[in-house]
Amino acid sequence: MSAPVLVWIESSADAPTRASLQAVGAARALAERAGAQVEAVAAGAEAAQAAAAYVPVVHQVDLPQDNQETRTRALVAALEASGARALLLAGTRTSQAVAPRVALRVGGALLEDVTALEADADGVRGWRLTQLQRVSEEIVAEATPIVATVKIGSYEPAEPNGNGEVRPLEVAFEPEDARVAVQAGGRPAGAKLALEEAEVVVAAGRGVGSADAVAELVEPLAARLGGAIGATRAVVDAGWRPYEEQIGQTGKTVAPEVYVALGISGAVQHLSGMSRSRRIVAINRDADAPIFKHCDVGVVGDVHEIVPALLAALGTATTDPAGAAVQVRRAELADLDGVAALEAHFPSDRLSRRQLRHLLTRAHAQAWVAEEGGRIVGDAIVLFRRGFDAARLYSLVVAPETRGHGVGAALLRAAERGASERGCVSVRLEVREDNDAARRLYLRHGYDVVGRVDVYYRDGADALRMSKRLRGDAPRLAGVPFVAQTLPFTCGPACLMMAMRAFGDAPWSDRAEELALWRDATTVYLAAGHGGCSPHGLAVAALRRGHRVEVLARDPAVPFLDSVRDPVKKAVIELAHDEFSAELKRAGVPVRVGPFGLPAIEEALAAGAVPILLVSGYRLYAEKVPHWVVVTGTDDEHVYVHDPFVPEGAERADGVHLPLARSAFERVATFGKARHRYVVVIGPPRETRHRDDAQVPAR
Amino acid sequence: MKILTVIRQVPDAEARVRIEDGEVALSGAAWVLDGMDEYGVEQALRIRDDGLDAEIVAVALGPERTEEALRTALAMGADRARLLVADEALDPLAVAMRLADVVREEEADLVFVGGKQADWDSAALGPALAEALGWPLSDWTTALTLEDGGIRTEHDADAGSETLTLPLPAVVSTQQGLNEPRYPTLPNIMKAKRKETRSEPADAPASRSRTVGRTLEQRDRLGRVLEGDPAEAAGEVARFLLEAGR
Repeated sequence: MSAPVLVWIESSADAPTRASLQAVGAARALAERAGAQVEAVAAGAEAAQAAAAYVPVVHQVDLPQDNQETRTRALVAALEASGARALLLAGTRTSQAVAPRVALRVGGALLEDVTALEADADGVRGWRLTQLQRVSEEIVAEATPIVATVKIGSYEPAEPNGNGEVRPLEVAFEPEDARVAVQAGGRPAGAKLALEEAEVVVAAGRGVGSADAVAELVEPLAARLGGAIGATRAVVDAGWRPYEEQIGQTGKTVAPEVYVALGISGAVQHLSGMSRSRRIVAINRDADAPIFKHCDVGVVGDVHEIVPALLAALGTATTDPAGAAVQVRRAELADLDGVAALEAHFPSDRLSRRQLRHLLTRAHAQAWVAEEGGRIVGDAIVLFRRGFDAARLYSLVVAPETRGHGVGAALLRAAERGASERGCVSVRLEVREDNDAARRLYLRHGYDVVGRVDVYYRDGADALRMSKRLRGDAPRLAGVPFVAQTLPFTCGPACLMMAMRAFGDAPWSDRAEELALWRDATTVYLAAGHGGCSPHGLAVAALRRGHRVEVLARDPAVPFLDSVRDPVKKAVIELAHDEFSAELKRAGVPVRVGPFGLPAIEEALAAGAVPILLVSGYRLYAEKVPHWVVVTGTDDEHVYVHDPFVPEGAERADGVHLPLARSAFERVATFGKARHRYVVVIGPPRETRHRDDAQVPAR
Repeated sequence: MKILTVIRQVPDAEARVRIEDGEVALSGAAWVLDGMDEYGVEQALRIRDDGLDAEIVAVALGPERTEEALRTALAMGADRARLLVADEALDPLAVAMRLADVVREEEADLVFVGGKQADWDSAALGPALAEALGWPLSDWTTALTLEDGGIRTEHDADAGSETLTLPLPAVVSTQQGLNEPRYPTLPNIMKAKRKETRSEPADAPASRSRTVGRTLEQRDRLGRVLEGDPAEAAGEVARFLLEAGR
C-alpha cells in the first residue's frame, strides 16, 4: 500500500466541521486513486474519537494552545510520523494560513483552495479559481509532500464508515509557538452557524436600504430558511452588518446550497465570494443589475415588497420536488400503522407499537405526522412534563426516500409551534452524534449543543444533547450539579446534595450520602410509607455538614403533622421536630416564620445561596406528597428548578432547570390544605469548618 | 523603526477576462496596486504620522511594470521602493522565501502584506513570509496599535474576531476595515518620481507548483427572471426554495 493521505480535522463541539468532512471526502477520492489509506490528525481525545468514525487511523495531538504555530508543528510531526505524501486541510481562513507554513517547513508543494484534486502517474494536480473566481487554473505539484487546502463546498462531506484507531502523537512544541497570545476582548464566535458552514445564506446589499430594514427583512427570511446572514462590502462599510458577515473578494467565500441575494447588484468582487453557490435567488429593483446574469431565479422588484410576500408564501405550504404537497398535522391513533412503520428507519432504540400507542394518546405528549399523497413520510413526538413549561423532542424521523424535501424541517417547526402554544419556553433533544444530517437540521434551526452523552443509544452510539430557547433570552441560572433521587422518599436529601455540591462539596457515595442525609432529616413517618424530610430536618443535615443554612416557614405549625392521623405517628413527628428545632437553636440557625413569596427566594439566589423549595406533589405528579426541588433561577416568566424525581421513561436531563410558570408558583409552592410553605436556604460552608478539618490528625 | 510593505500589482477588477492560448488575457486592463496592499501602506504611514521615527520601504516582486504600483505606494508616502524583477510567475512559497531575504537585509521590524492577492486569489503570502522569517503573524488584521516592544491587533478568525498581542519583529496581513487608505495628492505624485526605486533581478528560488492550463469558469444558471406581480413572483420563488428542500 502506498503512503497514506493525511487530513487535518477542524472540530466544533468535538465533532468534525462540515468543511473538514469535505476535506475528508477529497482525501478519500485522492487515496482511492493511489490505492492508499486516509489518515486523520485531530486535536484532543474527544475530537480524535469523533474523527475515527471517518478514517481508519487518527493521529491524536494535544495542542498546548490552539494557534497557527502549534497546528503547524503538529501537522509537520504527523506528516513525519505517518510518512504521508499528501496533507489536506479544509479551506478555512485558519487552515489557509497553516497550509503554506507546513508546506514551507517540510519543503513540500502548496495547492491552495483547490476545487478538485487528482493523482496520476505524473503526480498530483489540483484546480483552483483565480481572477476573482472567473478562471480555473490547473496546477501541477512539483515537490512532495503536497499540502492542499480544499475549497469549501467543492466536495461532498464524507459519511462515517467505521471505527478507526486513535494513535496518540507526541509533538515537541517550542516556546516560540506561544508568541502570539489571544487576549480578552474579541468578538466571540457565538452559537450561530459559521457563514461558510451554512447551507443557506441570505445576503443583504445596499438595496435593502438600512440597518433596520436588514433586521426586518433579512433576519426573518434567514431564520425561516434556517440560514446564515451575509452582506456586501457596501453594507458592511455602512455599518449595518459586522465585517465577519462580508461576502466577496475582501470578505468570505461561500458556496451554500441556496444563496439569496437581496438588493445586491452583483459586482464582480461580490460574485467572487458566492458564485459557486448551488442555487442563487436574486431580488433587485434594477432589471439591469449584473446579478440577474448569475442567478437561477430572479425577481425584479422592491425587496421591501417581495420579501414579506415571500415569507407569507413560504409559510403556507411545503412541497417536495415532485410537486406533491407534504402536510404536517397532529397524529391520531389511526396513524399508528404508518408511524410504527417509520420506526424501522432508526438504527436502534426503536419504539414498540405499544409504546407508540401510548405516546399517541398520552395527554403529556404531542405527536405530529407528515403526510404525502396519503402516506405518512415522517413523524415527530414531543413530550411535556406536567406543571412545567419545557418540552422534549423525543423522536423525529423522516422516510429515507423523502429526505432533503424539507419534511424534517416542517415537522420540527410544527413540533416547536405545538410546544410554544402550550407555553413552553424551551425544547431539548438528543441526537445521535453520527447522524450528521439530523445534527445539522437542529443547528440550522437554532439548537445549541449543550452536552454529550456517551453510549446513549442501545447500539453504543453517543448522543449530543441540544436545546433551543423558543422565546425570550435564556435566563441566568445557578450552576447547580444535578442529583436524582434513587428512592421514593429521598427528594429532600437529593436536593441537599445538589445544593452542597453547588458549593464544591465533594461527592462521596451517592446512595450512602443520600441515606445518611435522610437519617439526619427524616420525620420518620408520613401519611404512608417512610417519612419524608422536613425543612428543619434538612437544615439540621446541612448544619451537621458545615453549611450555613436558614429556614423560611409561612406558619409555625409542625411540618407534615397534619398529614397523619395516627396519634402514635403524630407523637413521633412532633418529637423529631422538637429535636431538630433545639439543634438549630443551639447553633443559631435562623428560622424565620411569616408570610413570604418569590421575592425572598430571589433574594437568596442573588446572595449566591441555593434555595430548596417544598412543592405540592399533587400539582406535579398527582400524588398527595410533599416534594422538594432546588430553585436555580428566575426570570420574568418563570421559576427554574432542578427536580430530583425522574419519572419512568424520562431521564436526568429532564429534571434540569425546569421552567415553572410564575403564575403557577403560588399554587405549586404550597403543601396541604393549610397551604404550608417552606424554603431551606443553603449557603456556603462556614469558615470555621475548614479550621476544624485542619485539626483532624492524619491517619 | 523600519517598516516594509509588500506591494503587488493586479489587473483592475473591472477588466473583462478571456483566455487566449492557455493564458489569461485581460483586454484593456489597467494594472493597479492591489487594494489589499494599500491597507498596509496606509497603516505604516499612520504609525509614522503618530510621531514614530519610521522608515517605510515598499517592496515588490514581479515584472518591470510592477514599478508603477511601487510609485503609487511612494506617492502615498512610502520613503523608498525596491523591485525584484521576475518575469515568470512564482508560487507564494518562492516569493516568500525571496522576500524574506530582503526583509532580513533591510533589518525591518514590521512587515505588512495584503491578506489576499486579488488576481491569484491567494492568501498564502502572509503566512508563508512569517514562516520563512520565523516571525509571528497577525493575519486578517482589522486594527493595530503599537505597545511596548510589540503590537496589539484585532483579527478576524473563521468565526468572530480575536485580540492578539505579539512581539516585534512580526508580519501583519491586512484587510479591509484596518483603515481608509489615502489617495495620493498631485504634489506627492510629483515628489514620488524623485524617490529612490532600486531594481534588481529577483533570482528567486524555484516554484514548487506550476500552472499548466487555464479555462474560464462558467456555471450554468437557470436565469429565470420574473417581473410583474410581486405576490406571484414571491410565490414562484417560494416554490423554488421549497423544491430546494427549504
